[in-house]
Amino acid sequence: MNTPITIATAKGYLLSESIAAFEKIGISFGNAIEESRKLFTNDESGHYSLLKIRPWDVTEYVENGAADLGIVGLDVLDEKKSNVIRLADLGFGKCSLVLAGPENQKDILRHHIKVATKFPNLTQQYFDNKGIKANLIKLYGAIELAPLTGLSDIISDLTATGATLKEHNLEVIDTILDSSAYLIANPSSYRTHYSTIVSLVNALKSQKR
Amino acid sequence: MINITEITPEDSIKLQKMIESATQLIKAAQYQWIQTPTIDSYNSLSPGLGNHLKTSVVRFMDRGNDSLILRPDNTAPIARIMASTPAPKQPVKLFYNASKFQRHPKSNDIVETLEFGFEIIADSSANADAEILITLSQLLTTLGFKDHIIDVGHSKSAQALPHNKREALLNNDFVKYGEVPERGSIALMKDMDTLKGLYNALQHKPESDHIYFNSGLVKELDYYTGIIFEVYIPHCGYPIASGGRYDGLLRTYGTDLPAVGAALNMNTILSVLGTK
Repeated sequence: MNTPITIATAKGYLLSESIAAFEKIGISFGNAIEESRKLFTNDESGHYSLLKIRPWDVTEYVENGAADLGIVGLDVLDEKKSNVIRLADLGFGKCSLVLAGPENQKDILRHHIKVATKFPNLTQQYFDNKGIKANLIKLYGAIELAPLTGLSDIISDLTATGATLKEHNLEVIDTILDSSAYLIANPSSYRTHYSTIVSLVNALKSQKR
Repeated sequence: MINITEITPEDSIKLQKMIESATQLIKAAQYQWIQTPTIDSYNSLSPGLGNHLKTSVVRFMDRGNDSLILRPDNTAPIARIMASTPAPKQPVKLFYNASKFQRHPKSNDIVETLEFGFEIIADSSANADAEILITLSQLLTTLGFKDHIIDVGHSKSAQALPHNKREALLNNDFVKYGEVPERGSIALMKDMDTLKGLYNALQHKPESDHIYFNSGLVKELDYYTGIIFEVYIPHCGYPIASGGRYDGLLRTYGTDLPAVGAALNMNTILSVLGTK
């Protein structure tokens, strides 16, 4: 093996769990990359290289072959519908994309409801399936503020424990998608490194149990 | 919307050189050039189009309210020509270099794709399948893609799958499929009823180093009846060539003749050259 297999990993809450998962199967990246400003590091064997990437950029790296593999949430994958191979559900990084609105207003869903979200495609798909015409407002962060300030009626946002929603007097109306970290591959890299990738997938799947 | 495929003068030179060397090789292998209409009649071509092509076809009305289409695919009009001429006594080998026009499945844009392809009509043997794959591999090597990978599968294995598993493979979703599909050297074909003939024809051929069996290969086109294949090269996430056997296609135009063929996507190839 000459050039290392490159793995684009979403920084933030998925990064430390990804590094831990690799550690368990004998691929050691250490913890230097987590704590430093470094954006990439090699494992001890030199066979793998880890890139620290913003979650929304991971699919771009993998789709365009700048990285062979990637680790990113199903939420991002389904929202972007990228041309990548979904190899395995790694089981960590669990969270849900939910619709949430002011407390005690469970039947708030109606036509022309204003919904603030970072996930316009998945949210649109949800409302299309329900036959409700919703007005989506695309935001990049602090989604919980939108209903409090009157920007929107409700939100669609990620939640793991529901704590942030509760703090802002919001409660879950419905779940759009249950997400967790996925291992993905570039379709060409998948073929070039097939046997290495399959052993990696099997090792990661068995350490999950 | 039209997603216009404009080729710069620099790319035009590259494209011309590629087409020249591909044409030289394919003519030396006894393939004859064939030309089909750019604008066609929907009613005349539709019997062989299948659901996927029918939904992606670019269709419009002329003054007499006839339904016209831009050539949606090169294989279907060739099948129609061959079905309407006297049945050949020997296999016919054809090649083409022409655009096809389809609507993009997600954006609905009209996309023009330049294809260089070649086909063998009236030969149902595994030797014809092997010849197409070997010629394809030689073509790609000639064009400078020495590290191409040809994944081969069989249309029957995908058709035997339940709908959700087939969908999962079409979307490259191995999580929904349940596992990473088996893939490996052509030796995996040796004991398969559907592919052992191809294995026998390919073994000991130097080109077989480029050829892999992939049990997870499925294709959107409904007309495939035998081998199917896709070609990948490093750093390009999309197949640069694909094809397969479509023994039922000519019958939809009136004459029952087997056929197998491959097509190179010249636009994808050009975009790869651009990054080299």
